[in-house]
Amino acid sequence: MNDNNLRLRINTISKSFGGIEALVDVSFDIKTGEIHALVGENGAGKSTLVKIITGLESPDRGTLLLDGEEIRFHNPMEARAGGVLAVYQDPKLFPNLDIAENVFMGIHPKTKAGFIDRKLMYRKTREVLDWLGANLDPRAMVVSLSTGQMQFVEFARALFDANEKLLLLDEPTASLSPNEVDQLFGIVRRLRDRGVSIIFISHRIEELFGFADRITILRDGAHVVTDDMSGLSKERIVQYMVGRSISDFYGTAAASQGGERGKEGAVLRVEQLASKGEFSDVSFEIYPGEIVGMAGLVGSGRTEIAKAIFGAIPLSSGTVWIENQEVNVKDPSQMIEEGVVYVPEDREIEGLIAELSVSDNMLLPSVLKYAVMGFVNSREETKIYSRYTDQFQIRSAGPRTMISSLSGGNRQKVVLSKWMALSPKVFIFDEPTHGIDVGSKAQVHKVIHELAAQDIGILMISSDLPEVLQMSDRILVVSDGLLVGEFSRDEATQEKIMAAAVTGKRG
Amino acid sequence: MRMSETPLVQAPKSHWSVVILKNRVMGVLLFEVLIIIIFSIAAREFLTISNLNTIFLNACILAILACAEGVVIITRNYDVSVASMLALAAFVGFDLIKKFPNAGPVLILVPIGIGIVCGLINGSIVAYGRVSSVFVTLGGLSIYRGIVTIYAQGHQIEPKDIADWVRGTVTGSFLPGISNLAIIAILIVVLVSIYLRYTRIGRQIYAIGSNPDAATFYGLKVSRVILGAYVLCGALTGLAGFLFAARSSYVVPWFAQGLEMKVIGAVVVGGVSVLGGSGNVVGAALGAIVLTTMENGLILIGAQEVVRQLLYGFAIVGACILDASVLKRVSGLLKATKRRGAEA
Repeated sequence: MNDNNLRLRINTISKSFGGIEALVDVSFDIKTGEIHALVGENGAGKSTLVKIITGLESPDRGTLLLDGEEIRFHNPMEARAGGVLAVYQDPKLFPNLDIAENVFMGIHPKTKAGFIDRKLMYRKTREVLDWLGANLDPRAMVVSLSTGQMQFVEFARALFDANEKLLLLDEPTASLSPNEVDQLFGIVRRLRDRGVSIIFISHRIEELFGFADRITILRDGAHVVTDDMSGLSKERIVQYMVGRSISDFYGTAAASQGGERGKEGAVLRVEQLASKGEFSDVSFEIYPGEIVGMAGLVGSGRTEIAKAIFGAIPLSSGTVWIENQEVNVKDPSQMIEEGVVYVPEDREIEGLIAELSVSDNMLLPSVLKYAVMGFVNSREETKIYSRYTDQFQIRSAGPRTMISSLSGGNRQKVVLSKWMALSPKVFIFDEPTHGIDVGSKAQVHKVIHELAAQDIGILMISSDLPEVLQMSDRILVVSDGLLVGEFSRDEATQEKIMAAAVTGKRG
Repeated sequence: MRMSETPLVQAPKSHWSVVILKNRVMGVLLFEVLIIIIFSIAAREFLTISNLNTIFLNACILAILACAEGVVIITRNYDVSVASMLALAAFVGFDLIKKFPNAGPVLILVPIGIGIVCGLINGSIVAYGRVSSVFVTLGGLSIYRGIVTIYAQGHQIEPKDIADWVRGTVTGSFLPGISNLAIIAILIVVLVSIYLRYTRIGRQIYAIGSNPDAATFYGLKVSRVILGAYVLCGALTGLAGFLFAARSSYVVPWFAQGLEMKVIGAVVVGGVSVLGGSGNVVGAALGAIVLTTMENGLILIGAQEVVRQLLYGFAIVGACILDASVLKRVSGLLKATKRRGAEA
């Protein structure tokens, strides 16, 4: 590559968070005046890379060269001064300040006396909004704007001083209307023609064709390929995104049997579920002993569907049946009594209380069941503790051990124990193995299979496609708040699921 | 420069809640006019030059304190220790004035300095320790009050201990016809108001209160700005302590006890959002005038202390409910626009 044509060289960048590697030796180049698409599954490391370039995170290893000079920004203000700017997916703005203030916060123009030059601030904001083609009043409060309009405020902030060299766009089209997307593409093209380099992150792969010049694909924090956009097909890109080989440990557990069919036999059946602004028209059923995987991109509404069934967010319409009995979903405590258990993704915060002991956590939801006149029955407590430490092979020094001293996998098993003590009928797992090590992962899978073997119906939300494929008897795919696909175990492939999740169409 | 013939991104229409959010000070002013009218009808002596003058002078110290507290509340934090801080600053300051009668006006720096130190303590724990500001300053409320009680050792400051120059700072008239106290209060409110509106740090105080996460993404020095807000609050509280003591001529260890409620009440009634990022110190000062007007009017119509307390309470809660309903509407708007974006 011609060095004059080189804007940013990303050189063996690595970054890990608490032992989990987010980026591993990532290297590629961004040319001057190109639109460079950056794609990858959730958790592939795209956002971490953006944060490292803009100085919100610092890399563990590796260097960044901007126009041939090494850069290491400590915060976004320094990055801005160096001509590196970012626009994020969900606008990070100040709702009760006006547009001009948001554009100039921290970098207000000053008069000679050292005060803010408000006139100049409004004039410059007016100019840049005009350049963007946005008919917005610089004095309008940001709270009164739509998300799309807020995106333009972010753009205005990024662009008003016209010294930008590199612009990073983290899924800017995710919340825009088609019109706004067209307008945004127009802006990005004009910037490219001005010699600005753009890193463009998107999950909508179709929109990149005819727009991006080159593309880089990341997978599991590693660089997979950088190529001309014209040299790749959509299928090829999806393949690069998901194409890891399925590890051996997935295959060990026996496939659970599907149970008898016919809707009456379903342990959980939902019809036409909807929650305003989150999802709509969701219908499916789960049979006893069946593991149903739920795939989809982060933010597609998967978690919201699960939480709504659990009563944690309100349903606006739809019906829920548990073992063929219609249930009026009110709140989680009622659904727990109905036998529905939800194990949240962030088990640190929602699933366990770090300041309490192992047995306290195990008894948390069921404590009233085992209490005598409001006091915890300590004999029952010990019994439950030993039953589940045996059943799930939890490595803990004793019932009074603090939960924080347990390893991730063991903690996960404590979460299972505490729900098992309620004798549930339906288990909903939200990303059960997110961020835990391979050994613990296999353990969790074993536990899920064991639960299924006891005729409990299981809904498993996961972004880990190999996991979904390996564990599930059936797979549901969610995109933009709709169920867009259902695949049987035999017909499902990573490509089909990914295509459905990305395009919203059955692949 | 414009590329597209018909702009696709349209200007938003203003919703009533946004209008209120932008014009809070006008609302406070209208409320003040309303209660003046009510009391003028209810009490003959209310609407006289001398009574209105009294109200204004009585409001001055509360206005300075509301201005100080307002800066902290705009950052989405609280300082409930202001009354104790004020007592400590006033007592130590006046004790030194008594002990060093020849030092003169330079001693005004003592209460201000004490306020700054208290502000530094409150502010650094809140900003760097990331501890809830209500609890930190609730501790401060007890601690500063305890320190002044120990320092006093049962003594108190009496009128005879107070030098003439001290009284002159509040009762004298540097400009003919206007009391120095009024000039100081107006000057402070105007200066702080200009600082908040026309300096970068001033705007960052709003930004941090409006959305602390975004402030971090913008690369603003959030902790430092919050610390600064507490220090400014402390300095102004120290000064208010000096003025208050000079005006009342008596300082006891339990001086100004419970005043923090009135101060926070003035800020809230003045249209500063308890959730930060919105309102201004002119409003807070007006809130002080509103509360003082109510106090004065209620005394004139012969209302008992308990009635006054009740009415303050209602005014504060009412202002908070209005604030909350505006914010609820506003966040409802936010959600609605997001949904529109998602469905489009």
